[in-house]
Amino acid sequence: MLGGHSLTRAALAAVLAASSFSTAVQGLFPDEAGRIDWYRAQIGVPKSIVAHTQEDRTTNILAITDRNVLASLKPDSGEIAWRQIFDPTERINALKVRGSLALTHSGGSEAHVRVWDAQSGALAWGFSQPPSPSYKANSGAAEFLRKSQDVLAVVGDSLVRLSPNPSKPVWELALNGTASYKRLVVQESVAFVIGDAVRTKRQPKPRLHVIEVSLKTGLVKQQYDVGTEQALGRSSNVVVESNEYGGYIVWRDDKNIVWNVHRLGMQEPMWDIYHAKLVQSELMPVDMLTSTLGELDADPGLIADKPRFTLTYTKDTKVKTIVIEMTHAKDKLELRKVVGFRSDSAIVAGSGGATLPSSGASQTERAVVAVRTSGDISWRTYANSKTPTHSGEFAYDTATYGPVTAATLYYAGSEPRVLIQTSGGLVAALAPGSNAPVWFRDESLAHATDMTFLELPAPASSAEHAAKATDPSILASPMSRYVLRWVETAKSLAAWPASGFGLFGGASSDAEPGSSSQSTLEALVPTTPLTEGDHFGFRKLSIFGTSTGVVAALSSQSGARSWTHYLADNGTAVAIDRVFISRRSQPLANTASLLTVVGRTGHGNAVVATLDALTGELLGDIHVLPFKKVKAFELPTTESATEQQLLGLATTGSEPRLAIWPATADAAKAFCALPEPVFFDLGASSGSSQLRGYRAECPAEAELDAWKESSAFSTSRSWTFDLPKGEVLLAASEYRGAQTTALLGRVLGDRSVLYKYINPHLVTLASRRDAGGIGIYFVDRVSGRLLYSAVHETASASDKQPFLATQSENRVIYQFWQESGSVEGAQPRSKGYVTVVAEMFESDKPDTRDESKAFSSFDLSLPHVITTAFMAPEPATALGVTRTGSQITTRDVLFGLSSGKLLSLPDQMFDPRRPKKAPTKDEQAEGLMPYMPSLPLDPKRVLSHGNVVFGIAHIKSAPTHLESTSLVASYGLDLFFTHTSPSGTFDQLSPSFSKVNLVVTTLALVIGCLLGGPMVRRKLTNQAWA
Amino acid sequence: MLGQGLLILQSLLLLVAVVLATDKTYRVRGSIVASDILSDVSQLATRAQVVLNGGECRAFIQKDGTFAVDNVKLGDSLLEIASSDYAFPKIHVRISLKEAADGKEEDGGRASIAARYVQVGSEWSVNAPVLAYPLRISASDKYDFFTERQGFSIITMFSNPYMMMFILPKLQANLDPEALKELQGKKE
Repeated sequence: MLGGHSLTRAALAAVLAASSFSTAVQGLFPDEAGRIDWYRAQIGVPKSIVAHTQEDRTTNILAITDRNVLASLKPDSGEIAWRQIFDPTERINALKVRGSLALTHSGGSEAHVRVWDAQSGALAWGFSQPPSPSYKANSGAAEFLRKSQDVLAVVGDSLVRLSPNPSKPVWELALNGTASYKRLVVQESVAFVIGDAVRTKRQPKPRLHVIEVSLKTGLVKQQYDVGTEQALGRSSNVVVESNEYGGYIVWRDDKNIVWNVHRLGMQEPMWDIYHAKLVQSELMPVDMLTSTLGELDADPGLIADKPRFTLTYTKDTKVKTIVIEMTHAKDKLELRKVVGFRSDSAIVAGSGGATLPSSGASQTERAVVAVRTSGDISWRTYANSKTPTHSGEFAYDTATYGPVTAATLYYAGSEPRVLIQTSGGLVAALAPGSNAPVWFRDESLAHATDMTFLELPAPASSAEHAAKATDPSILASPMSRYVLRWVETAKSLAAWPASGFGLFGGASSDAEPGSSSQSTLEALVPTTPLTEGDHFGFRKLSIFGTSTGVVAALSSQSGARSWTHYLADNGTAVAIDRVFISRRSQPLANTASLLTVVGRTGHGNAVVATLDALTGELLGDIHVLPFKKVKAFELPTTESATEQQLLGLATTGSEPRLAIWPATADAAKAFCALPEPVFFDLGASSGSSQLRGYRAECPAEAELDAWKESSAFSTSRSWTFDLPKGEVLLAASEYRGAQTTALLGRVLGDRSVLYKYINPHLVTLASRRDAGGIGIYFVDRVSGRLLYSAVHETASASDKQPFLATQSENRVIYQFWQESGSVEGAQPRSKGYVTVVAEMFESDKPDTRDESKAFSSFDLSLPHVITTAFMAPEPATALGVTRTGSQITTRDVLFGLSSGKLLSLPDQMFDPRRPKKAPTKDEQAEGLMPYMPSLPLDPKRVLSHGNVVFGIAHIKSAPTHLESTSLVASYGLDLFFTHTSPSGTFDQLSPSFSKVNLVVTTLALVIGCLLGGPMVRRKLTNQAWA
Repeated sequence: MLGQGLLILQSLLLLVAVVLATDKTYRVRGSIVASDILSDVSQLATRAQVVLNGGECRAFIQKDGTFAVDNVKLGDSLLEIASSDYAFPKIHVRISLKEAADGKEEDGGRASIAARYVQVGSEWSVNAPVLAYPLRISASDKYDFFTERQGFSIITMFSNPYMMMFILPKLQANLDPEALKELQGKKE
């Protein structure tokens, strides 16, 4: 029987069913792409830039970078024309360019030589050498042959001549580990291989070893040692070459004032010029002792007609650099000074050449550029005389991106462009006469090590702003503030018709999507720092710390830079490890937000600096502390005077100490006043075999009063967690930031509850086992207790197959590579990345929980752990989870995939309780999805959509003021920021919602009522009379 | 047809992989071929890579779609094409030492290669058909990241579950009690 009630029930069931379907996969809408997210493609700080103008007058700018990227930049905009990402373990050693081809040498013991089409970036051909046992560290070089497509390369422990078709060696010469060869000089019929000779008992001093090889046969013509006490790359020697003049090694013996010029292949005498006249006329003997040499061309074989190099010396505390050219005068080699620069500050010199339109196709112009490295940037180019051919100047603050470290010259038409690079990671192109860069790239963020979000104050209405300035008393009472806001709304309503009812020009100024290049659209130094957020908390400040010394703040909504600050100690960039928001601004108390940056100097000493988080202004000095730190973490207390949160810095050593920041007596007292002692753990770094727990001890009051920067608390070891024999630590992970939990348990189908086991002190350790496989340990960092362990025997982990882990609430998700370990002939087990989910509960029985009122690591019972594993769809480089304000919204698990995607998969998919058999009634009622062995790669769940986000190393998430929505930031090489709503946008109107339609419908209804009312009344009256 | 037969014959013969020196690592060659899904393979040259065993070996793709993965060890490997905008099938590559006529493994390091398609999440089978070597791989799908936004329509409005919640009881109330009884009688 289907009664009235059951009909309603059926309707309700239909509603429920429909609403559960409505949460099914919904991808991005095309109009959201680039509006709710922003993306910036990066290459990293260049190691070497080769700018080359071809005969058809197109210029290619090719660069290899510290992030192991080979890239081509467009000369007029600086945008990436193409890029190739190398494996992080395969270091790019050299870049050479000839015509339309580029050549790279990468790797170490296992070497790769690749030739690229410079125009399209496609691989033309390549050659690989398997790992060589007799490989000498750091050796490896490659060079094009002249008038031939062939390539000569030092790979592993041999010298090979490679031909493109088929790409295999024409001949191979074993180098027998005599030296680490790093340089090749190719001539018409012979080549010279130069390296740092291996030190022997007979010859214990460092020296250079040269082998002359016939290009045709690959046979050694001669080999000899040259330049005692010299090593390649040292500033007391330089290798120069040219097509016409051959190759030379110029060096100065240690503690000697004589410069030797040795022509390669010439043995008796060893030098062509001994103590050149030029050097004698230029330098005083005392200055010669400290003088240094430098190379000028990034790819000397490219354009060199006469070999050139630089000589830098200090005379009367003034630095002078001269550019020296080798010339033949009456069949004798001579050194000629092209130009010299003198300046109070150091100068970097670079060089470049181009086929000029006026000078015909065969003639090229070579010029030298000199750039002042400190203060405002001023540069000059010189062709062949002392009068500069072009010059330029522009105002630059070294506090933003650091001093200039390298310069290259290229031509756009006939006009030169100077490409400068700073130690912070700025790459900029300058044009003559222009006071701003033609284009620039901020590559510091490709080296980001840490990032934090800063909440910005919600926008105060203009009336409130005005009141603050004129009559702050209005703001004192909530009622008057409310009235003020209504007045403001009424005013804006009055202005609404004038603005075309908001139909035109509605775009916010901050909504400009971040493009992959920064051109003149954005000023090099941001003029208006972002100080105001939005009503929904989407616009935050994301503050990055980088290993190049730059702290940068970007708008999380648009990627626009708000401020940058370069931190250096004694001229070397501070490698920043962590950034902390140590004080959040109080809107009424008028205190600014503070950012504390923790890093390392070149010597490894800990560095702490405090900045104003909104403006980037450095407050006080950079503090270099007299110890090395291994770990920096937030402490749960603040210094009373400044309300700054305390940071703990654990020092190195067998008996580590705990320093605090700010290092004041106040802070030390606040630390000792903590109700519970501070515990921390050390040894959680890759390669260790032990995790140690320490407890900080408070000294006597008098010592606290005299607290200073070098002070630190002594510690006592409270526990040691030894990994089993034959295991070393691979990775450790912990909770990131404060955790929020909305539900304490999981409600099962029969209405009973499984309580979640949430332990904020949980550390997940993964170890590599000698016997093969990976060990997993969940350890409590306060008590050192082992909470859970597992062994994955078929797992393997290496730099190329990383182990990843992330913790959220009562779940640990980790991923590793699974080797099949198949036996020959047997059915192979599948290989691939495996994602394991371990979910912890207080008990295996529902409705059972720990009843103790206070949480204590020491008497916590062991968790009941349920695990399950899935095959991951693609190799990942980073893992993360979304976060929302109250965590009522489910969490999405985020994967940074190595193919360049940011994938977000729903929480339900990672439930270890997903039934593997047909689901029971209870399981159905609980809404558990049936188990599937693989995680899907659903393109609708790819947050990064068409953007190729390469090298994601970190994924961070922050809540917004809307519970449904979470900010997601991924960085590493590229930057990609977006926001996502894992459970749908239940607290927002959809963008297609039309307010106009709503108003029109309401009006139509009202009019209908007004018109229809009298008619109905009349009808009723008529009916009554009838 | 004959060509296909030849290809299968060729693969059954277990083609010899290129052997590099004595280190017993091998080179796996293949190419990405154009299809209706991906007609211009040259765009993959800077946007995709060939990844073996989740990153153990990597290879760049040439303009014509060909690639060569070097330093591959003996045994089973998983070959994937890492592309941000196209899906490719995953391939199980097995390199084994070639057996000489007497059944013993040859010393020369000559090896054979057998490649098969695999699915993520399922066990690898040696019974699956062997692919031709050098590998010829074509894209299986182009990722579509977006959902079309639906405009306003009366049908969507009325199919909204919340709308049904309002309308159904009204409909019920408007039904003639006798008609309702009749309806219920039919159901029973």
